[in-house]
Amino acid sequence: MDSKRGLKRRKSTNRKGQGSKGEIHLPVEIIADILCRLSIESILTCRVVCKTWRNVTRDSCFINKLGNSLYQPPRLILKPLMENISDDAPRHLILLDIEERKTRRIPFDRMLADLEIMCSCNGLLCIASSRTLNPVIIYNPITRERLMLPRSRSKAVISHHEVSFGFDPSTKKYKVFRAYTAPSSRGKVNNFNIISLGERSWRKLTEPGNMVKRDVYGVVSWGGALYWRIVKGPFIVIVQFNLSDEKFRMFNFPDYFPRNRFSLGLIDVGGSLTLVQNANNVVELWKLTENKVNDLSLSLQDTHNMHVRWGGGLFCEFVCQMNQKSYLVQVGLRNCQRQQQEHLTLYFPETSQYSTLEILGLPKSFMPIWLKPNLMSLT
Amino acid sequence: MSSSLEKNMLILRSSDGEEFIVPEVVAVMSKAIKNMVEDECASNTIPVPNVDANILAMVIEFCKKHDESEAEAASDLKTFDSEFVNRGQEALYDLITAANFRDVKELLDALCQNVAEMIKGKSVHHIRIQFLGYQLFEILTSNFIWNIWCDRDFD
Repeated sequence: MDSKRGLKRRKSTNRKGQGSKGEIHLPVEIIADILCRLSIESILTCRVVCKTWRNVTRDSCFINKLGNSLYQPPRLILKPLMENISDDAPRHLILLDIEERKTRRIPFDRMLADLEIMCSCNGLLCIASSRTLNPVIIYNPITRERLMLPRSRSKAVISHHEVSFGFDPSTKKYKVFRAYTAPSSRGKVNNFNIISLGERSWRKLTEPGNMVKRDVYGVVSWGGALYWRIVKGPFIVIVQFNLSDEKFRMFNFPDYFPRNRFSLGLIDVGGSLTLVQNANNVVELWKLTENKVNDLSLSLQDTHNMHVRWGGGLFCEFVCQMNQKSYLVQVGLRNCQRQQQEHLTLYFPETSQYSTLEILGLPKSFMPIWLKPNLMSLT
Repeated sequence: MSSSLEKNMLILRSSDGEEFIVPEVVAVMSKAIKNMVEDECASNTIPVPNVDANILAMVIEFCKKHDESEAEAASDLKTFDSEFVNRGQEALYDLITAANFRDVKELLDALCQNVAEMIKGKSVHHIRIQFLGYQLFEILTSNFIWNIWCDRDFD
């Protein structure tokens, strides 16, 4: 494993006297143990230190160890959004360390930059276009490795193309799900396909009755299932798609669920999938639980007064829970083309305090994606 | 486990022949020694090849502290650990080799954490100079080749 130049160095230091230059030749498993304790940014630096260290970070054992490591803190990936429609899409992503307030640019080629990030799961991103079926790409923003999914033959103009993916614990494979509207279907989303990574073609799924309207809130991949929040007039429906049995389950909200809402987030709070309902100045956290017969239920966990009346272009989206006492929220002005400016802010519900994060290199407008970085290989 | 030893003491002999008398509970924190104690009950002098007296004394100091302070606050032990591993690079390297070879998990943990702290936030050049013994001129000449050989850097 050791490179030729490494051996040469060792000889020359021995001649001069023992290790006066502080050279360290450690067993590979020790190097792996040390690198595992570093943040993803440091690991990326260490990858280019020497061949031995690089090979350590490519080893599947190391990658798995890192994936399960407790030292590895989560990161935000920010996709900068265009300020003017005429501009080219920015050709980079931003890897953000929230604790240290540090950003690092990840180059993003033109083909990827023009597409949308539709879903994230286990540190991987799913990238596709909402208007065409091809391409669909699974991308690891840390290794910058990409996997192009098999192309669909249909070249028809489509709309509302939405792709999501998740890990199926029963087959131990990633499954990618897509929904789209064919041109003749009067705006109804009526095509559903699925593919497992490694398969050669997409399979058709039977149409679930309730998923006909386009979801305005996007899709969330969580614990072996995909979740949509679907709005039908005054009602909200949560649809779950179980990646193991490939079945849809609908969940109608109880009558007491408030109808006036401004934003609906779906985030992990203390290990449970939680619906964050933000209306006027009140935020309510509803915990989603699934019982043994796969029935979903909803219970109100917390209600907080945010003391800010959101709306009218002023928005507040919950990004993730930071710790027991605080949440990370994205706040900003939208529909106000010239003076767009978005911030990441810590919100402390108990004390009703806000603390805007001062981060250098934050784009004016961006889409945040919370993920646990890893070096997972896609092949 | 051997119980015939007087007051449960063991003698450890370093590579340069120095002998240390250590309570068995302390010595068996090394899994390698534990296996030896379990296997061969007769001898109570255990040779520790590859580890010299200086390093062996440090390892024993560490194990003693950890054995005594089982009941003590974990935070105290943490401060002790971080102070203990805060040594010159040479001693650090010898300690890692000893801890790895003798399989002393707690010590290896503390040492690896220390090296990780040393790497944190450093540049590639800095790490090469500190850990691989590179000289400045080598960095300047090798940089060109590295940049071709490696995938392009992130920043």
